[in-house]
Amino acid sequence: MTRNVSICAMAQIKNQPAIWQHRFQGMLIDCFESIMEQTNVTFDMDKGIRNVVTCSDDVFDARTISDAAVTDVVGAHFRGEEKVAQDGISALGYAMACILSGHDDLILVMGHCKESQSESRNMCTNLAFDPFYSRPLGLDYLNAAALQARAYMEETGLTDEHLANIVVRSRKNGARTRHARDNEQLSVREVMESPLLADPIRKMHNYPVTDWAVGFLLCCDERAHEFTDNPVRLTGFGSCMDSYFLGDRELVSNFALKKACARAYAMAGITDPAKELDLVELSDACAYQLPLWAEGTGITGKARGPAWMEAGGMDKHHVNLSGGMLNGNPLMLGGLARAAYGFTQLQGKAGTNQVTGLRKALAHGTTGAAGQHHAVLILEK
Amino acid sequence: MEEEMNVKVSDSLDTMADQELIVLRKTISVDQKFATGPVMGKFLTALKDKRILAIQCPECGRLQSPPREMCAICRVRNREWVEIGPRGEMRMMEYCYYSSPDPLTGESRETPYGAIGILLDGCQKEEVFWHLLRPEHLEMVEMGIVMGDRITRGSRLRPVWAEERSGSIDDIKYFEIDEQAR
Repeated sequence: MTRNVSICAMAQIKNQPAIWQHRFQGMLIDCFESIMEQTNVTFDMDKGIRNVVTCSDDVFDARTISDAAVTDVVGAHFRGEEKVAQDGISALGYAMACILSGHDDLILVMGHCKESQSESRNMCTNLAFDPFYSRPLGLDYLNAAALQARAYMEETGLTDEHLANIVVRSRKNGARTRHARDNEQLSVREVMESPLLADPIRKMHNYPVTDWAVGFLLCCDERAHEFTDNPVRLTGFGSCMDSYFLGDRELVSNFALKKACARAYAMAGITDPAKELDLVELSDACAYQLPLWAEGTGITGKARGPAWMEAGGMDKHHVNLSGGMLNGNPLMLGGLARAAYGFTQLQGKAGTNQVTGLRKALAHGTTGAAGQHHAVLILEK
Repeated sequence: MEEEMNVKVSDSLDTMADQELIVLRKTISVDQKFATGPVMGKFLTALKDKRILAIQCPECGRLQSPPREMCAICRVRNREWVEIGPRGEMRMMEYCYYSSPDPLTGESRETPYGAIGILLDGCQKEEVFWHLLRPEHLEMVEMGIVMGDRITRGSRLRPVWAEERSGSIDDIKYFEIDEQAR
């Protein structure tokens, strides 16, 4: 493979509890216009964007074929458009494939999710389960996560206090991230006294309801200079799907995440992730997932999560300096938020949380109950 | 030589003759709050005052009603508003013989009904406004046809407004033949 691919531009609105004043189309337009302004890219059939990849979810949009409703506002009229109905990091993987294959020079990736539109996020994720068994028994992403959290705590000795520390740190980092959701700062005690939602997950361990939209312009390296003087290369992508039925899965094995990482690391030439990755952004919808997914990426060992945390691993490896998904990004867009932050850091625009000498970053996304699907992206300066 | 491909259906109905197959009936329902946003919101609010608004593309000038945030063709944000109609010319109609009941309420409309495209005054070409025709007028309306130089004028129509208007598309009950234009 002789081609390389870069992100040339990214545009996002602020993560907010409820963007009640706009339709989801209105959320995307601001991102679309910003990408156009930043890059002067066109939709010319020879030199411009011929294909758009979108990410959205039918149930959260309450509209079947949810992408059809947004083509007007992402420039897709009379162009190709494909939707990823999975964590948006797969949309970036898809866009990479389009460019690396030589099929396209430029791909626009646009994602949106408006969690506040639904009466209940749990009612939406309950619909991810089969209608005969798991759905009537009440499974949703939250209580499925609680099963995984319990198993992980049993295996590793992770405590309620560890979880509280993750939340407190997330809020601090979120407050230093420009487009992160504005949240109250919390003390360890406040987190530990917050009510249980599904034992062992407390209210403050769970990411808050959030609305957000984001866009990326990806381009082959040889043309990146047309659109930016500060491109960030995408050098690895890997994804893996585990069993759908929760009972078939070893919940704390990180099977799919390890496979996804192995594929991405091989593509990017990474042999020792703990040493080579300068920034790690994990989609931690619930607090316990930060150390669990960290194990899956190989920056710490199996069942080493709590000890790694106690040794300052989260800060040493620059994990979720953005505040992570825990600070608030909508479902489907966790991975895109991670990639957006990795891009910002690698461009040197992360403000007070800027990491110096940054070369390689990992962005992670996950879809489905308790991490059925995982995908990771390697970004490089 | 082409080989015929036969896919065997392992669980054909024959092999399941002795088994009771259960089908579960469920209603999927999650309450939603749909934001109208400033563009659709302005259109719906105007209906309360018996006004029909369109939004105009700053580049190609085409009118959109119901209005959308962007002109998909020119890829620019629409900004200018124009009041159109409320009277216009019948352009096309579909006779619909089935009603789609609301799965939650079971409510359905009378059939057949006429789904119509009206060229409201102030609009041109494809800028037709979709709504419903007064059922009693189904057999009385004439469609307008534009095929090259061949132009046939359709019936003149006017909206019938609901007495109680809340800012929804139902604020127009339907369109009916405009007797004043005869």
